[in-house]
Amino acid sequence: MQELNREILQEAISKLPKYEAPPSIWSNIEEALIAEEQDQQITATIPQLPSYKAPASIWENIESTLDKAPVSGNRPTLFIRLGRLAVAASFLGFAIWIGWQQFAPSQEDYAIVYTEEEVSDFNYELNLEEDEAAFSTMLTHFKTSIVAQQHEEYNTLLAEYEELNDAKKELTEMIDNYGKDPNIISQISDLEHERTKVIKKMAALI
Amino acid sequence: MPYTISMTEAELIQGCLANDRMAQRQLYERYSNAMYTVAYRITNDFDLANDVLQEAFVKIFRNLAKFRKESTLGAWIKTIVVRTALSRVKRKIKYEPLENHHTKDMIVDWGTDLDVEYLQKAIAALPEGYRAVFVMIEVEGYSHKEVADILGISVGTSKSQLFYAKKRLRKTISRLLDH
Repeated sequence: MQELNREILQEAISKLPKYEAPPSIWSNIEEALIAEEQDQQITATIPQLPSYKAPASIWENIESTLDKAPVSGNRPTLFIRLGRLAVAASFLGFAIWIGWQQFAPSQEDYAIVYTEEEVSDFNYELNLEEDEAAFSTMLTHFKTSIVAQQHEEYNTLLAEYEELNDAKKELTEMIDNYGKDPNIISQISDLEHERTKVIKKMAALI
Repeated sequence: MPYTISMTEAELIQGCLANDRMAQRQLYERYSNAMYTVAYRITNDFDLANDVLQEAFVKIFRNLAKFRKESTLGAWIKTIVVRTALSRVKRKIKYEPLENHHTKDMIVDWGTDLDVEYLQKAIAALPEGYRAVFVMIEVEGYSHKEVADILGISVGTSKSQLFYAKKRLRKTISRLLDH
């Protein structure tokens, strides 16, 4: 680059105006310096601040609290617990959906099948009639058996059998009056079981 | 010890290092106008120049202990002001490489007379990068090497920016004269 009449430029530059800094600038600088000095003072003062010893009672309180509280680790916040619950529920839902997809019948195989079936009532009368015939035959043999009559349990077994018969008679009347209540039927079943035991004992003594 | 205008530079520095507000004020008063002018010439904005001067002087007082007396105190202060001013306009600066020019295009002729007002207007109208280099080299007396270091550019780029700045100035002044 060639520069002609450079001295003309230099002369013009020397005549360029000068400017005065506004007075407010020093105020701002001083403010900044004061703030900085205050910061330095604070920084220097902080290490000189007193330290304090925790009262022994605090640890005692902590210790007693720990002794009382069950050890369960850090208890998550309600928000975290709800979050975990939501994740678990989502996972469970997803697992059910997967299972359904795998084991559910396909749409074309799927059909609703239903049947009607009559619930058979406990036909205690029929069963009892059959049992009664057998029991009656066995009772007749027992009563007429000379061997049995000489046994010490002979009268006891007869009395026991009569008691069971009376009880059965009462329960049978209740069914006739109030219907086939499941509890009564259950009691009759227990009675029959007991009568069977007595009849077996009688048979053993003949 | 009271600080006065007649205080030596060494005394002022000593007072500032002792955090003496009067000494700091004295130092500021001594250099503020010259530094304000530099800040304005680089930024071309009085509000920005205010900010630059304030920020620069806080830096100066904070870092005065680092002043090694390798240059004058004024030169050291000016470098801080220039760097601060440049940091405010740097992102606007775009440097253009020197393209191949014909020899006659490489000539800048300042003529026989140069109006200061026009020169001032032309400097203000320069793009940021051109203005920074022109002010630093032609007005403030920095070398291309110093400008390259401060701006983080090569010496070649500094030279090319100065050339473009002068070409632009000459063109702008001619246009102003024509009107």
